[in-house]
Order: sequence, then C-alpha cells, then structure tokens
Amino acid sequence: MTGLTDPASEIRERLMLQPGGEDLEAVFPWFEAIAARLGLPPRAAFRIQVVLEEAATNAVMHGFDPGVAGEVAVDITGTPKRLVVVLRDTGRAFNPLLEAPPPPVLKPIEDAMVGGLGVKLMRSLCSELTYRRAGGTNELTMGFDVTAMAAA
Amino acid sequence: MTLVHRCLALREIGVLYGMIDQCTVLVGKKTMPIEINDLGGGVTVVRLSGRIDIAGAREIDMPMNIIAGSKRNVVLDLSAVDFLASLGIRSIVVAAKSIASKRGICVMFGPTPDVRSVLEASAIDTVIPIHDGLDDAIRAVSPH
Repeated sequence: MTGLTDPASEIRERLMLQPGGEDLEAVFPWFEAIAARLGLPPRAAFRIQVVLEEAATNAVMHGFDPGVAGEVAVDITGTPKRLVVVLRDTGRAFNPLLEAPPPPVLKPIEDAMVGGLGVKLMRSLCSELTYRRAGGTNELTMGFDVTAMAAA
Repeated sequence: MTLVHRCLALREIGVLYGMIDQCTVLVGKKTMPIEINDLGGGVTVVRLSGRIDIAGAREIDMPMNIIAGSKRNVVLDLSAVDFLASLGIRSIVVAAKSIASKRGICVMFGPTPDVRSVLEASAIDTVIPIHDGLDDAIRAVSPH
C-alpha cells in the first residue's frame, strides 16, 4: 500500500506522543475529528480505533526503557474508502507481528494470560499489517479497507 | 487533624464506599462508567457504560479491582458500552481471573455487535461467556 506517497490521499495527519503514556488519551479525539472529516462509517471508525488503541498503547507504554527519551508518531493518510495508519517509534527494536507471544490458549480462565491478544485482534481488523525496522525506528503499517469494514 | 475533621473524613469514606456498593460512583460531578448493583443471593450486576477507551479503562480499573476482590458471582452488563478495546478488555480479564481464582464466576451480557466483534476477535468470549439476555446471565452465575 502506498498511502504515504499516494497523491490521491485526501488527508495527511500526524499526532506525536511521548513515551510513558501521559498524552495517550489524545489519540481518540484526534482520530474522531479525522473520522468525522472523512465521514467514516461508525463501524469502520470503531474498528480502526480499536487497532489504534492497541498499537499506540504498545508503543508508548512498552516500547521504551524507563526514563529513555524518544518519540512516537502516528500518521494517517488515505481517503474515505481506504486509510493507512503508520506508527513509528524510536523505542527498542521490536516486531510485534513476529515477537509477540502466540495467541494464548484461553481455557480455563485461571490459566488465561493477560495481554498477548493484541496481535490477533489487529490481524482480524486490518486489511494490511506490516512491520519494518528502518533507521533506528520501528514502523508498523496498518491498512484499512473502509468499504469492506463498513459492510462486514 | 481535629476530631471533627476526622469524623468528616470518615463520613466521606463511608459515603464513597456506600456509593461504590450501591450505585453510580460519582467523583465531583463526573459520572464514572461503572455502576454496581447487588441483587441479593450473592449475585452482583456490574453495568459498564460509555466509552471504555484508554481514559475509560483507567477509570474502571480501580472499581473493577474492588469488585474482583469482594464479589464472587458477577454479571458484567455491557449493553451500554459504546466502545471497548484492549485496555478495557484487560481490565475485564484481570477481574474475571481474580473472581475465578476464588471459585467464583463471571459472565458478560448484552454487548453491541461492534463490542461483541472485538470480544470475539480476541477470543475473550471463550473464557467469559456472553449471554444475550440479562436473566440468562444472572441464572448462569447464581449459586445453585
């Protein structure tokens, strides 16, 4: 997907977050304004927010060693039919798609792990999900086929 | 602290606990997205509402811990929840695990189709069953 360089992209928005999570709550009002501007169907907006929460929380809360400075950037480009969210962080090299624990066996509940469910959730909601490490930055690209999501 | 102040402080704590136990928890004028109703017979219905997003999950974490530590037969009423994602699910799973460790039982009731799809995508429904009807959910957790 070439959302970042796509000349047809109708939006190009960036949100910067700090490691530690104090400003993490800013993600939702920021995205809701974008969703309203694009007129995203509520179901698609809901699902994209689920993925945003998962990805941004992971990067901001778990991607950095305590006290280490860094930054997390969330970029959204695309159209009302197709959105690309790219999350870049300067934290530890970490491929959530490879290194996250496999989806836990959940029964019985006494043994259920807490966490480790995020990648499964993200895979089920994204139409494209890729990771690369480039220039000391983790880059997670999440593509959304809005038309298909609204119909699902 | 004078005796009067201490009495006032104790009264405030008492009021707070009373609120946590019986109805909507109020902090200032803000309504928290969690309401706790003891039905008798050891069954508690915990009604979550609104957006359980990053901010919402932070708000319900503490009350959910209190519930998990003090209740054994719990119905989580999700019918008024507009949004739920990983942090809210985490809070629910932590509480349900704690309840299960005391040989208690926790079920969910009434999620919207969108919330249900998130619960199913993360396979949470396989450990905390979802019931469509409140009566069914209450029966499922009622001690026999």
